[in-house]
Amino acid sequence: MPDLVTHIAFSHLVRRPFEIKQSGKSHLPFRILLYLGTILPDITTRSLYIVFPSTHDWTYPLHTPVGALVLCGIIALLFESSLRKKAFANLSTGAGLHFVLDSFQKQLIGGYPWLFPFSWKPIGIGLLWSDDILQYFPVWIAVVVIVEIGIFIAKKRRTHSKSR
Amino acid sequence: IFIALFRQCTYIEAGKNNGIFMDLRRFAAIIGLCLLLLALSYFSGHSHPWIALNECLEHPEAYDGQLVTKYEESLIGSIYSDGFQLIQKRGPSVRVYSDTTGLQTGKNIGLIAVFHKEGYLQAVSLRVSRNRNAKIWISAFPALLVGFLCIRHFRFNRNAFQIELKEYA
Repeated sequence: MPDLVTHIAFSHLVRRPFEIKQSGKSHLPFRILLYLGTILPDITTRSLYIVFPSTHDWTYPLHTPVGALVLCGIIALLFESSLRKKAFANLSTGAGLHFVLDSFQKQLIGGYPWLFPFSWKPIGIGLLWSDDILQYFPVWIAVVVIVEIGIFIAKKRRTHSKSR
Repeated sequence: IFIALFRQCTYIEAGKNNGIFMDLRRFAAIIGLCLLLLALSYFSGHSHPWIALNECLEHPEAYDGQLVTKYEESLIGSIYSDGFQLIQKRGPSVRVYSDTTGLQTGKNIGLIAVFHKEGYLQAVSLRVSRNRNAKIWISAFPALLVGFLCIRHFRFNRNAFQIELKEYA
């Protein structure tokens, strides 16, 4: 798995273009849910089995698309009815982006069993080792900062031209 | 969830309920999905294809010549000319015969190896994770940040058993 900074930066960069034309404030809570969805597969599995290695086999489904989707469904159902669909969409999109990024990671066994519970066959593109991805996390942060500055300047210009 | 549901029952008795039992479909869906998750977990726990080193050590005759892919948080211990000592967070340490190029004591290692009933492993492929601890620490920060943002923008209404947006959010 890449580190969580990389995961969040990636999902942030994917989502941001869809928000540019609208006011940022109303999007923030749902963006947070996207981030939560992005880190969910790792915090529900890795954080547990690093401390308790014996939980690995039992928590493994939470790091698969089917398991993550079920978990996103449970969390979304805990939201008030007006937020539920948006919460589910953002959580599951976040989890999906997590798996997209994980697919690029090299593994000794070849990949992750994305088709669980139907198949245990490891699937992955396998471009970079997890350690190699870690080296690029400052680059991800820099790209996010540059994009945010760009959006800020574009918004300022737009308000300025409207006020004229 | 079950503790919270129990609390809901007490609200019903007290005649204060405006929560989950007013919304039985949601209640049923949450229970159903929790059961599905438990079923997936049970299936994974009992039908996974990987062979763990600890299983092999418990039944060495049965696993002789098998490919081991799972270890309990494995670390490199002492390094010898023809291999190294594999230390597990839980379970005994084991001698591994392998190429020692690039090995470093104390580092995490990913390993695929053949188990021998005498109690040693012959490495097929291995990869030293040099920055694993750094990755864990780097990952802790965004996880905490997301947790903080969730608390800042959402609140859990215990009476209605639902998460709501905070008014200013």
